[in-house]
Amino acid sequence: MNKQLKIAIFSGNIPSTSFIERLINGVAEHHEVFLFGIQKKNVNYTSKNIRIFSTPNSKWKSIFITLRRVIKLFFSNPKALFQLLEEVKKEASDYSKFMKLSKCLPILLHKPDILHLQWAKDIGAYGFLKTRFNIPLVVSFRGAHINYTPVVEPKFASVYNELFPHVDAFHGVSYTIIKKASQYGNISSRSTVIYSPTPKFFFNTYKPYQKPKGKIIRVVSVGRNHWKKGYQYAIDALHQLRVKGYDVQYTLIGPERPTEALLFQMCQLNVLEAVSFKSQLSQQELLEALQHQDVLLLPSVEEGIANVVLEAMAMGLPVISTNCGGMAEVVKHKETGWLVPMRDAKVIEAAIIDFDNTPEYKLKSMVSQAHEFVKREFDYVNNIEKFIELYNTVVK
Amino acid sequence: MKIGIVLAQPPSYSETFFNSKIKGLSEYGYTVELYVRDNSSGYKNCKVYSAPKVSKTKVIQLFKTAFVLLGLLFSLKRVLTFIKLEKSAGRSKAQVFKNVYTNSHLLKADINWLHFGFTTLAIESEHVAKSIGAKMAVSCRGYDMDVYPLKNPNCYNLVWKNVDKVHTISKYMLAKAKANGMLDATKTTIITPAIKTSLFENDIEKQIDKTKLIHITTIARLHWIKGLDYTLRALTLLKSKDIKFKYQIIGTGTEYESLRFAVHELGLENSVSFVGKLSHQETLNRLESTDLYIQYSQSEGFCNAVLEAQAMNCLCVVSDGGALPENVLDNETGWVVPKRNPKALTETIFRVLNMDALALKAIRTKARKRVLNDFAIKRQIQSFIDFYE
Repeated sequence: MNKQLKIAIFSGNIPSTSFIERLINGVAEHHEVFLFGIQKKNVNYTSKNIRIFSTPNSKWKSIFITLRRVIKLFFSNPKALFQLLEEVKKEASDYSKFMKLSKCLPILLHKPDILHLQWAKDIGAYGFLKTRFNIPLVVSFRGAHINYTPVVEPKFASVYNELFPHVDAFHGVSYTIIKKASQYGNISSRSTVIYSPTPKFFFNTYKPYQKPKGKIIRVVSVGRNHWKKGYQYAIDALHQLRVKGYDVQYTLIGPERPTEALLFQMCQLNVLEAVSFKSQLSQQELLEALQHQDVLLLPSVEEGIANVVLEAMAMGLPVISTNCGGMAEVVKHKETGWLVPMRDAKVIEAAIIDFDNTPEYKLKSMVSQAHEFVKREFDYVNNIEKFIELYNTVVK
Repeated sequence: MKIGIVLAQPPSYSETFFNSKIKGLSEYGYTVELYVRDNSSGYKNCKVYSAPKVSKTKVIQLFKTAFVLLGLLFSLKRVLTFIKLEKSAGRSKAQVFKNVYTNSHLLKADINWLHFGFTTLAIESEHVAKSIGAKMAVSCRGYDMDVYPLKNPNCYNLVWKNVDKVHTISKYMLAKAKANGMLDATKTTIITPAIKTSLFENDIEKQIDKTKLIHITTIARLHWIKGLDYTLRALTLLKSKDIKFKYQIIGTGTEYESLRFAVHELGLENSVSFVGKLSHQETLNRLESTDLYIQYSQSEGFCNAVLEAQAMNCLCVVSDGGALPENVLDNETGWVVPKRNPKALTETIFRVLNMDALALKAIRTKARKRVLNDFAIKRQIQSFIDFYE
């Protein structure tokens, strides 16, 4: 067996998002996991392999702990402290200088064997830990930070061009995102695609598809309120369908209430009573809510690979997805769901009509193929093993 | 006659509507005073009174309150009337006390008309005019009627109950005010925005040649209501028809990230530029070299930019959102396209580009003439004089 490594899974916040938390717990079964970043709230990890070296959220507590860490590093590795201070000096404001110092000190004090940045954008702030301190670096590509950040903020394109050559390994949530990131350097030989795992209980509720008998088409989307989710296209499609006489009910799970833009759109198009909002649900509640729906719609304009589509496929709910990010790797048009072009209400409308017209036996086969595909490719155990393999290649 | 206009802050240089109104009324012998929440810009065209600020520090706020209440001693009768009216409307003691504080600058005003420049600004100040013996007027603009009541149903009930006269900037806004609960008996006047005709004396000769680069412009905040995402999708379709164009969006806003990404994804990188915010003169310079002006908003209260584009001999294609069909007459002074329909927008643009040069000239001329005649500031001022008289 390989020796136990100290792996820093870094997202900037403790606790992190649910899929990063799953990664933390999974990796901790094999190696020690160090967590750095701002402690947003207390978390009790059952694994003793998970160690938290956080930066407190409170200002005064953070100043006190940072001072203590400065002294500790001064006595244990003064050279590292001075090198860190040189890096910190490059920051523009006093506040960002302090933040950088407070966040990087624990990383240098506990020097992990691997620093795994969960968000590519963080390479600008933490890339020097590789170039100056030779801490092996793994960077994850999950979506927005590759798909649109460098487009909207070109300075990140320069940061990526400068620092990607120093990264030891890249993890991408899809082949598409690796391809997209390749414009910032020759990264393909250092890149591994590891699909995000889908929680087991979504598979457990799978049952062969039965087409609902009623006339109502219940369409559901899941996600937060963000422009990239493209809900406006869904609302436009809903309006067109209702004009054509289809009784479509649309549920949005995630946002507690509509944004100003969506509210206006729903009123203008007179579809207010056909749309309902459900605020963020636990995964169990989500699963239950999805069981009362006929089809899941992903109208997004940007995604890595949307977990919710995988979850729907796992539990046997038909899916209609835009061809954004890596979705084409999951949704094969008319095989495992409907894959439609982005930013086009008309094609969403057409897909919902097509879904409604598709006979039960065809939907049954489609849903079953989708389920099998996700079971094969998005398995939890395999997923963690792939990360362990990736880490092993880095320290070899 | 003394008119107090209530605004969030004094109008910036580019806000033609309020600046021209203040200047025009002053020229006709009216005394105009501004009542604002924040006067950091130091407005010079008339007297400006600011509302007392609210401090986050309790001790400071205590001193400020004492100071404000002391200042109201000479207007005690007005304050008591105000409190009585507020109470009769069912407001809580705390809210009434808060309203006395935030309206203290208005309660001291000696004016004949208290005119809220936006309906939203009249909320929690509905009883001020009655308390100070002035008449109350409100203006209904886009956000006031289109968006705010959706999030705050019945928010204008007290406004409608107390207002003496309502000004709307379009027929559409008037209909929206009625839909938002304005009483049938309320006196109303439509006074549209206007342009400074002296800036548009030069009748620029323009000709469109679809085989050459077409210059297209939109002036808009980068805001969802402006329908810029639909416009970009329409332009993608236009590009696929082999039309070569440069499209510029003049304005800034919160939607930059999504729009910039859309430009990238839609393959419009070389055809679209986000110019940012420009001065009024720079904006006019850009309109001078614009062939086609697009305003494909989801809704507009009226839209001054479209007026200026027409005065600059730009061919205007607009949506049927809000008051835009009042601003541009379909097939007469431009083209009106159903909103939220990128395909329809593309088809209209394509049709315009294929139109006969003489027909286009007729439309340009008619649009310019109509705007210069019907939407001149002089006319607007006269309408306001009639409004107050």
